[in-house]
Amino acid sequence: MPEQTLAEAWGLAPAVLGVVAVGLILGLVVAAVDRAVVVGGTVGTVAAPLRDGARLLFEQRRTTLAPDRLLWRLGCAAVPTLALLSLAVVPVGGRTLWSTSADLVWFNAMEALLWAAVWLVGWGPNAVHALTGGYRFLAQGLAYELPLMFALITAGLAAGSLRTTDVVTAQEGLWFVVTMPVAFVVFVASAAAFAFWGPFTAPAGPDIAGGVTSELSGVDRLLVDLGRAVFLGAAAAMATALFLGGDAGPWLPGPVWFLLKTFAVVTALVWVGRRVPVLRPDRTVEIGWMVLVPMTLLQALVVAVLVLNGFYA
Amino acid sequence: MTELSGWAFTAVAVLGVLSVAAGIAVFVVDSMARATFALLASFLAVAGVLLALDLVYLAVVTALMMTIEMAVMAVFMIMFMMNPAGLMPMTMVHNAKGSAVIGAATFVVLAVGIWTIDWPTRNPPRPDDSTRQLGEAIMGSHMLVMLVIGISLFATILAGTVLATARGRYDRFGPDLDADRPDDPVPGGFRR
Amino acid sequence: MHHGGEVAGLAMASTGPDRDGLELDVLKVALGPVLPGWPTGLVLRADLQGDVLTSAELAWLDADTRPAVEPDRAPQEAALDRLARFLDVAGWPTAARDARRARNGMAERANRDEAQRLAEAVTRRVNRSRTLAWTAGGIGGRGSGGDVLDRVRRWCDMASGQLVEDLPATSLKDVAALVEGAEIGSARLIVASLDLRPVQAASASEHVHA
Repeated sequence: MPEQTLAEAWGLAPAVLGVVAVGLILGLVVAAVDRAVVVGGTVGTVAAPLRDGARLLFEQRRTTLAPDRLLWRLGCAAVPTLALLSLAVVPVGGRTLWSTSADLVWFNAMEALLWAAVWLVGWGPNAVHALTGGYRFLAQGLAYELPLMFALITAGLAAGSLRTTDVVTAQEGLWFVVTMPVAFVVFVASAAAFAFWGPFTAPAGPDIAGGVTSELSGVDRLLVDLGRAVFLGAAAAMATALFLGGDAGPWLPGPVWFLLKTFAVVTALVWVGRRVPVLRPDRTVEIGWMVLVPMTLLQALVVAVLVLNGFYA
Repeated sequence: MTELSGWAFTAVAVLGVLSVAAGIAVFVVDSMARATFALLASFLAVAGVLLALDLVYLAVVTALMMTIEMAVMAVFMIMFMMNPAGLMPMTMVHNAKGSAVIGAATFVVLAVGIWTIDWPTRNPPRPDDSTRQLGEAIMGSHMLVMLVIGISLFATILAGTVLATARGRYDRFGPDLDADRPDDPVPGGFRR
Repeated sequence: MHHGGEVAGLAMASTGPDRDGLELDVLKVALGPVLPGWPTGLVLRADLQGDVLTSAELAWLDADTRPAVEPDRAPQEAALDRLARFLDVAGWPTAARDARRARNGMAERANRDEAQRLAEAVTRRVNRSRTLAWTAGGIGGRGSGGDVLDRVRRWCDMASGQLVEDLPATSLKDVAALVEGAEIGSARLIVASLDLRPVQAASASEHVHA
């Protein structure tokens, strides 16, 4: 393990603070770009999410009749926590907060835990729309989980390691997106799906009056919305690390390249995602199982054959 | 135990207690959702123990699999009970006597096993990468076993689904399987 | 398993047969009277199993106290408004925004040409969207009058300024028949795609009284 993790280099507390700060910045970038595309960009675009967040912070909580308060609060708090934890293994500027020998699986596990968290957010308030949203998220999750896993594993397969820093190093010759475009697209789409954002908003869809978020107010809504934005930002950063060469690039310092690429992924994602209506889950899950799973498996097969031929060596 | 650092030892002890406590909570709480998530908390504590023992892959996979399992369980156990938030308190214990006997017996067998097995005492050098070591063990000498287990699990899942579903391909595509579009109550993503 | 009874003043769900031949819990819900994209005052009372409406009944709240005359609007503006509301429910905020901008532009009458251009652009975008056709097509088409997609395309034609012949008004009973057996989200789309006005219901009930 030649590389140092951020925690080893800076000490644990400053490193955690650094990752939280990066997470919040990424979340803000996502929210601002999204707002610019949906509402139209103006001077206040960056300030608007901050203003909304501050307003939510001081808003009084609404409640419902006979909620399961413990599980509800737990779910709301878990969403942003998991988003930040998934960011812990993303090598921003060549270093992760902590490096494990199974970073890719860690990232996947955080996103699986999000299932539980979002389901709790839907279950807690004891309301029909919220509960329906929670179940939609699970159905959506079951359908995108396997393609996402295969996409992640494909990158790990080519690098011969589940460590994200190794995956970045393995792309010195050629970015992985060139040989695994399917995995890249599936990964980014799944990222939108697990942040239930854009065309995959169904769990919080307007057709069920906001779904899991329908009964949220005040701090709870802030936490869930923040978590979604940070998740999307973290996933864009992960896509940059896994498929777009991480912080590789000429002239500019590595971290700047990394953030630029992440910003480009976010912008592309939002721009494409906001051009289409919400995809109803009873349509998307069939595509997930019947098209995406075989396609990502084929992608993994192609990469495996390339690995055996020494293409990535 | 001796090679564990003080920090890891404390973590293992605390998480162990936590996992047992969460396990007990499964039977104490009176709502299905709380029972499900108490069980998940117990499993996550076990994952934490594995993490403290520096078995990252096993820890993360435990968290991943158990979360998905609990989520699927939530779907099947609670989804069609349409009282959001599990309003009606219900007991989480069925066949209390039988399960107590089974639980106690399992505990005795495991405890006896732990204390009587002649665990290897030599200290092999810790591998740099426990994930790689695990992968080599699974994919190397135990490949055949793993493949057989994997395929039989997959076959079980498919068989279970086939047995559980009331509608087969003849219902969907007609007696000669020649319908252009399947006849489904809810059309799926392929609008064939 | 306990069923029936009350907890926290709420009636508990009871069971009923579902479409797969199982006995599942049924929850009685009321959707409305204020839901995004739906006409204000419309209430859908339904039995819900999972996310499927097993029985549905629609009604207008306070239909007789509402002013009987709608604000006088050109059909094109009204169609743009309907389209924007549907696009809200379908989760397409950018298209809904453009439809509203076109509607506002028409109402101001200052930049009519520009508003007309915007209206044509947004209706063309909605009309040609394969994604919308894929995701919203094929639902709510039982009986006559086409499915949700056909009705939306009709709104699009009206919104871009074409003359479209009036469809016979849909009664709430017909709507209830359309949404029965639909998933809750599809039911929302189906109702949002229809042209429902409380005025008709109010006058109809007056007839009954007279």
